[in-house]
Amino acid sequence: MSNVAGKAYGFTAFTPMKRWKTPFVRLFFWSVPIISLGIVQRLFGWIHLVKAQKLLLELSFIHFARWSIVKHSFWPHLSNEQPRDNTKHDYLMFCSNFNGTWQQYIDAFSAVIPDGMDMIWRWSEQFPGAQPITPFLGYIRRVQTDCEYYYSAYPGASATDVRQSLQLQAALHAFAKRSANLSPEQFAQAWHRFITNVQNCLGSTGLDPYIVDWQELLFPGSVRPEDLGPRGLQTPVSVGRVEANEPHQVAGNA
Amino acid sequence: MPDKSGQSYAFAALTPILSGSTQGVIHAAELRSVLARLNELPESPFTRVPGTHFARWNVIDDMPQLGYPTETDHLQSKYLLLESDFDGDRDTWIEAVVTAMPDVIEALYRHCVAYPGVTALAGFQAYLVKCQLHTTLDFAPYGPSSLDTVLRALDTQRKFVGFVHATQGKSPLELRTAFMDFMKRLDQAPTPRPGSI
Repeated sequence: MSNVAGKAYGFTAFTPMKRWKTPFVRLFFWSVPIISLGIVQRLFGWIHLVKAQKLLLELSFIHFARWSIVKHSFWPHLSNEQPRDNTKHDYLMFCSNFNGTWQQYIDAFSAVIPDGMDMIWRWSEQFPGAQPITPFLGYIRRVQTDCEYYYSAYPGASATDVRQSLQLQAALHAFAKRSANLSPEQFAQAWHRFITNVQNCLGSTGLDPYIVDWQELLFPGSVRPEDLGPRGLQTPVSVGRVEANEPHQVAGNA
Repeated sequence: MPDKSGQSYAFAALTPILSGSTQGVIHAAELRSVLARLNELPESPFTRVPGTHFARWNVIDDMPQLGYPTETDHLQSKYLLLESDFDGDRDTWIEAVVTAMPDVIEALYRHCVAYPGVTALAGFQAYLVKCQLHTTLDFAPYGPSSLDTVLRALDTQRKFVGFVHATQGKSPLELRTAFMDFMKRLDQAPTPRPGSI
């Protein structure tokens, strides 16, 4: 099992749905991009569920995600020797690539867009609702299937890092273009304004602090400064080394 | 079917795994063993497949069992799920996968039902397409940005932070000269390798 690639977590889940509900789910998914359009949001954004659908497509911690309906008759039958699969239910497959830990992700779904989650999974059997969180976590764990192999092309970058870096690159090239003919003094002033404007786009690629802490705890000295990226210069590892010969102290067990 | 969103394609294929064993080799177990060994490679074979943002292989043993009152579903076969988000179109990507890692594909898919081999590319493409699960709703937040664009942007971000640190307190003339030099080096820098950031 390998659901983690650097900062990215690969989440996969199959949830059963009664066959007659599938057209409603299709209709819902078909409506999400339309309802997320600016004009629809301006006109109907005051409706709670309309706003929830837009939020669904604006989660900042997701790289890529997709939902697919697995019809009961979908299962490929490629040989006469292969027994034919025809499930009693249709299934909703959800694959997501997000940053953070599993619990953080499901917590965020529950806390930020419970209505969006309810709209997607309410058609699935025994879905308890996105709130309260504990039954929701239990349900997700039961329907999740782990990756055997997982790959990310930019394991040191969170989704926010990617968004910010794209913004920064566009802004940087625009700045280079418009500052080409400025005098040094004018350039220095423009530069300071530019730095102020892009200060939220500087990101922090490199290993996740959570992973760094555990890696340093388990394998002291294994984290190299270059693994930490620019953040490594500023953020010390918060967990100290455990010396091999140091006796473990247990509170209240003197 | 919205498999394509902007320039990115969301692909998934569920291929049935051979049941039982052949000459003492249990197909599902051996397939898992190959995937476990892939995890130990210093560099993923997907780094050699241009435009691949994310990829995964899952072995689907059975459908989740929720218990009463939900009727149980049991699959007759296990399935290998290949899921990926990449730039461009599906057929070109499958061709790139086969070109980049024929040995890995062979080691995995020879445990799947009716695997045609990778020597005939069209046959393998048709095989995966036959097993393709289309996307109902895709979420691809980077719009028209290709993998190369994303990698260059991340590289720029990393170098830019260093540049800002290094130029603090410089005179206006030094700052402008350093900036022009920085931009020139940035333009000339090669695109970082996938997996290196």
